[in-house]
Amino acid sequence: MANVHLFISTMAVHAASTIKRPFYRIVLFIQPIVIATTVHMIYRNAAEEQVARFILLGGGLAGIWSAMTFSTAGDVERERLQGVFSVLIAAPASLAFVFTAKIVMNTLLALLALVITILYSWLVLGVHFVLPHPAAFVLALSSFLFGTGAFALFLANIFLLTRTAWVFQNVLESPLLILGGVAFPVAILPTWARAISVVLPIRWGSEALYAALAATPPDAYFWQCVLWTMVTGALYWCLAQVLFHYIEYRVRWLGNLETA
Amino acid sequence: MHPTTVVVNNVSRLYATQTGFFHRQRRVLHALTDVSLAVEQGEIFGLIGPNGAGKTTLIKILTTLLVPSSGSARVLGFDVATQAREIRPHINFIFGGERGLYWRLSAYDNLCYFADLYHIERKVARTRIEELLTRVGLWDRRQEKVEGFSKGMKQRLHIAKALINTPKVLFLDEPTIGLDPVAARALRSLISDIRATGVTIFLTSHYMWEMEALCDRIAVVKDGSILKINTPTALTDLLYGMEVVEVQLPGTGDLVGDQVRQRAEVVSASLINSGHMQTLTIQSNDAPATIAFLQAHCATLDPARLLRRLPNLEDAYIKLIEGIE
Repeated sequence: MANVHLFISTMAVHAASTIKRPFYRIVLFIQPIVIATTVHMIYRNAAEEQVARFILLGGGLAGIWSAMTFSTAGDVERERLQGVFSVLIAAPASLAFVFTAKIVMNTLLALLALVITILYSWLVLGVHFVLPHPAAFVLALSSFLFGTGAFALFLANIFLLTRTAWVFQNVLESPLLILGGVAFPVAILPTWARAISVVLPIRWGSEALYAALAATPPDAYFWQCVLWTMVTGALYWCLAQVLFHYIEYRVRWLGNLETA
Repeated sequence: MHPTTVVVNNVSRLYATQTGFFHRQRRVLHALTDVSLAVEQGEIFGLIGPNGAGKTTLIKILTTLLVPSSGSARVLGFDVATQAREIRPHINFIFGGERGLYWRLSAYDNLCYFADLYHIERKVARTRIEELLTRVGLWDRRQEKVEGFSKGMKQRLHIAKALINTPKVLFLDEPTIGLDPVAARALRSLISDIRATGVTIFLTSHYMWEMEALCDRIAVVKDGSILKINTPTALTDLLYGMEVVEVQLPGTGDLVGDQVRQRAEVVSASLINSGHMQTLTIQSNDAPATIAFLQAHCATLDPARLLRRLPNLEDAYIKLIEGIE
């Protein structure tokens, strides 16, 4: 029961701290609109089905991913700056557990990016969002959220080790969006880039979502994408749990709990 | 015989830093060198020393925030490096200053979250939070966001936070920094009350009279090493036979200080600027002779601004830190 309370209160504290940051509000509310508009300009002469898929999902998924990485890096950075990172490390609660709760909250908040993209595309760009297979879409979206959340938890470990997490966040954001096939298909990337994208849950999750929007019923490739999203997500989640123990000791060894 | 709560054996701690971009140079800073001490249950143990002496590093090691580079330390019988999880539920800490709180949350919500981090039952936590916020005088302001609090209010909230898990060992690193005199006095009283319940307290402060009043034993730390550990009285006795002459001078302290230091009976003389006046503190083996010299050689000397007294902890501290024989 104590863990349930801790999970919920961590989510609440995280939401209260995050949503009040002006820059996060820009990432969450403005960025999906900018991406949707840009993708719309790129694809407006393409087939209608493709336009809808890339505008709606591209903008929405990029927004989700940006909000999640931005928030994860921002949390680590901010908590270092506020001195609460030391409090979290020295408390009996598991650091991995606390960060998992934060990332679940990030995921829920980031879903707003998808909602904003859908509403903006429909009301402003005139792009209609049709769900031919709602159950498949919900399944694909759930696996995407799990996979990207697990990957964000893994990234949180790297952010913990450095006093300049925001640099990593900025450097990683765009390459991961490209490798994840969010705004255009992975098939057009060079072979070496496609090889890297195989281990990214965001790539399989976005492909599962695109497949769920196709007019034809979910095929074997859809199920393969969902499965790979879950498998890669589970791998990153397990890796993150193991790494947290090592990283916590490493941070105590390096003495970089606080901002220099 | 009280059980030993904290044992530190030959602990050293190094920090590695790098400078330069193309020609990177690695520099190793020795924050602590072969520190050993033992603290008994219910004791208030003080650490005094100049800035950068290693006091905070030692407290961070004992609160499991840092691991020692070598040596070992045990708190409540558990090793700080390898058994941090066993230690954490039973300790808490305050690091001086305003950080360590969620500024965008209310005082009450901060404590609720810290209670959750220590796995304290909600019902117990609610009662304890009310009791603690009342004790530190913040109950009426409990719903206000911390970002609007004064420095002193944040410090009082830190105190409530540090007591949320009823710790067996409490680490207080400059807890009265930034507090007004009334709040600082209330905190000292609170520290005494906490000690009466059997809690072991580790305390650092630059206010020597505060340390003298509160601590059972004090370690004097300089450059990462312990120079002396003893009771405040025993430390003050290092200056046995000596007296202190304090004199306030209107801007001529430098000159008088230089002259006084040449005298055989004078052990040390330090000068503090305070507004247009300078305070010269002289440790002397023959106070009457020193006073006679001041009266004869200082035209601006006002007898009302001259004080002769017995040495206190601050005088002993200065002697130890300045390495005066």
